[in-house]
Amino acid sequence: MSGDTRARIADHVAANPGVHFSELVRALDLAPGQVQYHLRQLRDEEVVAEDRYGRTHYYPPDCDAFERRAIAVLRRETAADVVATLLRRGPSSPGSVAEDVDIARSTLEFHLDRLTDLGIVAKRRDERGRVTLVLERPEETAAILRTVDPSLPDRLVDRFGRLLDRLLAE
Amino acid sequence: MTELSPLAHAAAPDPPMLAVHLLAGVGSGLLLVLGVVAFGRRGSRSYLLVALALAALAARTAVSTLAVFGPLDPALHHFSEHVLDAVMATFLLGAVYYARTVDPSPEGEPR
Repeated sequence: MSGDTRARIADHVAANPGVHFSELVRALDLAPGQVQYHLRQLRDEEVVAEDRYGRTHYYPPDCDAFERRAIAVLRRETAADVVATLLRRGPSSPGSVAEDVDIARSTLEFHLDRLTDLGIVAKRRDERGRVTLVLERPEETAAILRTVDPSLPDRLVDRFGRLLDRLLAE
Repeated sequence: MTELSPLAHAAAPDPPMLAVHLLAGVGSGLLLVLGVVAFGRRGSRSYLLVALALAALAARTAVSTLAVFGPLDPALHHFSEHVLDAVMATFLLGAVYYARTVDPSPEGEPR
């Protein structure tokens, strides 16, 4: 019975790499304490936990470090939009990316902080100090982008930020 | 009949009133959660002030619920709604004011 629950948790993590604790509780219809208990029992060969920006994400063990970082940040809808635009356009200026994605510069910079921090996007500067955004590992990032699907609460928080930045900063 | 009607109102709140309060409560509650989570992520003063304004919006429904279905005096209800309006306007003005100072372009480039 408890082995059953443990297998369900491991299966859900394998199907949804980068899933949050609260999503696990919701999706599997279990008590938070139950999920917590089983996650502690699951060894690293079954589920890998990683803290990123104050939230714990859970991954199947076959995700490498780059995949784990990329999945965590691409679960943000706007960050995924920025990366998709860079995949489509190739190396681009921040201004043109903000225009394409239709977001305020402050929204773009917030997401770029994380994307550069995690090694997904690099900021190249030319001799005049102008910034060009480039993807560090485009093929791998494109493959990961196709598998990631942000949850509804994540999408709503993201869009709230977009709206607020646009109302306040421009 | 006439002297009974206030009592009847208190005992059985009419369904439209209940529905409107429920809708307002769920809506403003969800907005407040979004505001608080977004502030947690960004941590800027503007986001804090918007979250506080949304808290005032949610408080409006709470106060109204207490007045219609609970013990709150109608006059006090009326007054507190206006106080919360003033609070909300103040927080939103603050959020607009701080928007520019907390959001400089990181590269110092012209925007």
